Amino acid sequence: MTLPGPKPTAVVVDDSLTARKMLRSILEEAGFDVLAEGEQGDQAIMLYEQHRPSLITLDIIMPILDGITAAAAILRRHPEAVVVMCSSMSAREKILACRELGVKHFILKPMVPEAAVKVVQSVIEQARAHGKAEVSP
Amino acid sequence: MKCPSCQTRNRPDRRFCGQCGAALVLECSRCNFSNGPSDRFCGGCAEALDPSAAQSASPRPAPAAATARVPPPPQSYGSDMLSPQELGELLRKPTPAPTSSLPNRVTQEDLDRLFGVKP
Repeated sequence: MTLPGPKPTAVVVDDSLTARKMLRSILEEAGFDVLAEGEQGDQAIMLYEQHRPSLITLDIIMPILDGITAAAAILRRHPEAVVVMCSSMSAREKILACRELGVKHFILKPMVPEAAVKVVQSVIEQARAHGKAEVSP
Repeated sequence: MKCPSCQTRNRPDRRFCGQCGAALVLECSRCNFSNGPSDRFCGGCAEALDPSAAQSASPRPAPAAATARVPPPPQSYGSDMLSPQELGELLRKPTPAPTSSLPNRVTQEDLDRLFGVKP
């Protein structure tokens, strides 16, 4: 299934090259244009500011700055940001903290590509329905 | 690494104190990451740890083969020490099956429900 309307954009931030490759493949399969990749939490903030993507995926455990702190920083400045965590960390308190922050979804690693494609498509459709997903740079 | 119990300095690769046998690492029950005995959260998965578990840990029972070389028992055993008989009994008991260690395991379906996005 391809997403209707303009092609959404994405930024992938994960310290694992394998995870980044997989996420890029998932996002492209879902109809996204992946604009950039990062491997540290601080890069996530910078890349979001630089590209203002329709969606940004963040790992949790990353060098320099963890993904939850990066998500908090992005969402504080851009409450409309569509942030999707992608992590193997399944500690309830962390997941609930993400939800409290306004993270839109959480993809559990190891990722199941077919399910992840549906997740990112659903998230962006929902954000579009709320008029949030198309942010101009 | 300094033993939290008797303050003896141990090599960093030791898991138990060479002097008193206290635990020097606190293993996460969820991901088995080896944490310091005073850590409060696991360095592997951020699970909350119970440092008191490490500080109060008794020395590990010696393997069965080692018990054969144990010198004759002293006159009395402290309340926290096992006699060779008790140790033998303990070693004969089958290891209990691990309890369901993942009662709080979160699945992708749980996350889909929590975040209210149904793929």
